[in-house]
Amino acid sequence: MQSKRIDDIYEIHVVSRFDSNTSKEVEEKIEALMDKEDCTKILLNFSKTEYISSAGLRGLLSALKKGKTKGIRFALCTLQPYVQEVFDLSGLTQFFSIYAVEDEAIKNLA
Amino acid sequence: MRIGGLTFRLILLIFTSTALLFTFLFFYSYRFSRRTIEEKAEENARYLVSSTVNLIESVLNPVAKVPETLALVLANNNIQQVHIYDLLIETVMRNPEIYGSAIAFEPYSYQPEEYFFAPYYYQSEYQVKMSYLGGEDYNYFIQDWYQIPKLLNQTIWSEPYYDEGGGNIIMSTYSVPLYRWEDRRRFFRGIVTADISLSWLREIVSSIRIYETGYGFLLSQNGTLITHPNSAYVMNESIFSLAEVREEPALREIGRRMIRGEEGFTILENSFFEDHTFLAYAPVPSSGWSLGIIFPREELLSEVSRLNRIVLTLATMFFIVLFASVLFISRSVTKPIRALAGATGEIAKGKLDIQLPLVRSNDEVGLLSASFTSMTQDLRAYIAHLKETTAAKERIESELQIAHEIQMSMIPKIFPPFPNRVEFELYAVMEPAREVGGDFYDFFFLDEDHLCFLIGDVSGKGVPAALFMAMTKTLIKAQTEKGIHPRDILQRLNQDLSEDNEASMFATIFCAVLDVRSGEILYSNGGHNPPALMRTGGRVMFETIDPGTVIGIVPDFSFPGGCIILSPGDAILLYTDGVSEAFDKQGNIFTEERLLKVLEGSLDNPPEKLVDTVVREIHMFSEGVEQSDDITLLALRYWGVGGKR
Repeated sequence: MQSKRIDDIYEIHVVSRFDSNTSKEVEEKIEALMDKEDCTKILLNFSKTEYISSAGLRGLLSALKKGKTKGIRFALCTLQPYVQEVFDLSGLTQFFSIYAVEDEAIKNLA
Repeated sequence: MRIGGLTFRLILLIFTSTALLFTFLFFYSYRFSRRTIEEKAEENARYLVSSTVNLIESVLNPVAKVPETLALVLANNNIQQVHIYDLLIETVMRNPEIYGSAIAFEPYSYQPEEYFFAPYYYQSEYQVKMSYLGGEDYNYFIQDWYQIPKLLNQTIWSEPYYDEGGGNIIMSTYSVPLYRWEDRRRFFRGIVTADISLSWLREIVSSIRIYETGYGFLLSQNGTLITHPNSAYVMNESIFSLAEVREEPALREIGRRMIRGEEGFTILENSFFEDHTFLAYAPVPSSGWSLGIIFPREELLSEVSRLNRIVLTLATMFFIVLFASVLFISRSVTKPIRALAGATGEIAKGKLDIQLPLVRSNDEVGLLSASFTSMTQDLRAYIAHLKETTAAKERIESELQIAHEIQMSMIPKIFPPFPNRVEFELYAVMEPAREVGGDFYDFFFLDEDHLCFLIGDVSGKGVPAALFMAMTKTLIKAQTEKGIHPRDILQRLNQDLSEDNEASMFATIFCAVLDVRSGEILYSNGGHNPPALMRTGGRVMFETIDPGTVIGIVPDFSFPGGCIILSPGDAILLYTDGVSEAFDKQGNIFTEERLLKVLEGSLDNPPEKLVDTVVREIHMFSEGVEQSDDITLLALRYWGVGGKR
C-alpha cells in the first residue's frame, strides 16, 4: 500500500481486497499518517480496491472517527462500482467527500 | 560386530585394501628377489664350473706333457732297452700325479722275436713297480688307449676304464703316438702312455658343494659318468643310458650338448636331477670331458623362501595388530554412534525424556550428539507448547460451542412460529460462517395485529460480531412498544450504540412492522440490502428504498421511513450480504441477479421451501469453498385475514 504526499495532502492507495484480513493494515496506515504533526488532509484512493467487506468498512470508519477528533479532513476518490455500491447501500456516501477522479479530490481538499 | 555395521565395513575396507597392497608388494618382491638370486646363482655356477675346469686342467695338462716329452725324446734317438726302463722309472718317480707310465711297441718292432713289448711302471704303496703288458689274456694292440691314437695319429685321453691288468683302479690314460724317422719318413712304432688315477678327480669334483644337496659330476667323451656322488653310476652308467631308462629326451639333449663341448646354463624340470634344478656345464678342453654342476632350485631359493616366511610371519603379526587396532579404533569411534543410534531409536518411539549418551569429543559424533540433545529439548518444548495451545484451543472451541448454542437460542427457531395465525407464513434461517456470527433476525407481535420482523448484519464476523449482535438484538427488543414506527426503533438503537463505540462496530438493519389485517408494511432501513418483493403474477424485484445509514456510527441520525403494501399471496424476502456475496471457487460472487433468478423459479413456494431453495443454491454455488460470511434469510408470505386459499 503506497502513500505519497501532494502539497499538504497525504494520499493512500487502498488495498485491492479491503476485508477483515487487511482492515487492520489499512487502519494502522491511516493512523500512522494522522500521527504526523503536519498531517491535516488525507486522500484515500480506491482505484485499486475491488472489494470491501463490512469489516473493511468498520476499519475505515474507526480510522476516520479518530481523524475527526484531530480535525483532519478526509476525501475518497475513484471508487470502483462494487465499492461504490457498498457505500451507497450502507448509506455512508452522505457522510464522506467522495470524488470520481483524483485531481478533483485534490482540488477540493486544497 | 554386526555384519554391515560401521565397524565391520571399516575393517573390511582397511583389510581388503591392505591385503591387496601387501599381496602386490609381496609378489613383486618375491619375483624381484628370486630373479636376482637366480642371476647371481647362474653367475656363481658358471664361475664355479670354470674354476673347477681350470683346476682339472691344471692337473691334466702337466700330466699330458710328460708322455709327449718322452715320445719326442724316443723319436729322435735309437734307444737301448735299459735306457727305456730308466726313462720310465724317472717319469713315474718324479711325477707323483702320474699313476703309471708305459711304452708299448708295435709287434716285433722293439725286438724281432717279441710280439708284445710294453714295459709298464706304476706306483704301488710308496714304491714303483714294473710289469710287462701284453700276453695271451691281454692283447694291448686292441685296447682303446693303443688303437685309437694309432689310428687317429694324435694324442688322446682315453675313456676312463677300470684297469684290471694294471693298477686295479679307475684310470684314464693319456696316449701319445711314438714315431721313428727314417729318410724323412715317419714310421709308427708304438704308444707312450701316462695313466692318471681318477680318484683325485673324484675328490676335486666331489669337493664341489653347493647349498645342501648340490653336486658336481664329470662326463667322459662318451657321456659315461666318471664321477658322481652315487658311486653305483660311476663307470657303469652314461648320461644317455640314464636318459634311455628314464625316458627323458631332455636329458639326452643335454648330454649331447655336453659331450659336444658346449658350455651352458639350463633349468631342468622333473628330471633325473631332481625337480626344478639348475645345471651349469662346461667342457674340460684337453680331455674332451664335460663338467656339470647341479644345484636344486629349491635350495637356491631357500633364501627367498626364508625371506618370504619372515615377511609372511611379519605380515600375519601386522594384520593381527592392524585388526586389533582397527577394531579398537572403530569400536571407540562407533561406540558413541551406536549408543546414539540406540538412544535415537528410543526417541523415535517417542521417549523424548531419554538421556542421550554424553559425548565429549569434539568430532562429528560429538556435534551429532549435541544436535540430537538440542533437538530433543526443542521437541520437548515444542510438544509442551503444542499441548498448551491445543488445550487452549480446545477450551476456546468448547466455549465457542457453548456460545454458538447461546446465540442460536437467542433467535426464534420454531416454525411455524404462530400456528394459529392464518394471515401470513414466515420462515427464517441463519447459518453462521463460524461457530458464532454477527447476523440475526427476529420477529414478534407488537400487539394483536402488528408483527415486527427484522434482519441485521453486524460488521465483521466471529466473537466480536456475536457480542455486538447480542447487544443489538437485546436493545431492539428493549425499544419496541405498541404502536412504534420502525424508524424510531432504529433511531433509538442508533443513539444507544453510537455512545462509546470505540471500535466503530456497526450493524445494518432492515426493520419492518406488518399490519396483518391490511397487508401494509411500515419499514425503516439502517444501511441494509433492500428486500426482494415477489408479487402474485410473477414479478420479482428489489424494493427501491432509502438506505438510511449503518447503525452505531452517526449519532442523532434521522432514519428514513417507508411503506409497502402487500396483497394476499405477495411475499417479501429479507437477506444479508452473505447471500448475495457468497463466493465460488473462482472467486465470483453469487450476486443479486442470481438471487432474483432463483426466486423467480421458486415463486409459489411456501416461505420454508423458498428459503431452503436459496440456501441450497448458495451451497451448490460455493461448493468446496469455505463459507466466508454468515448466511441469513427471512421470508414472509402474506395471505390476509382470510388466510391461504
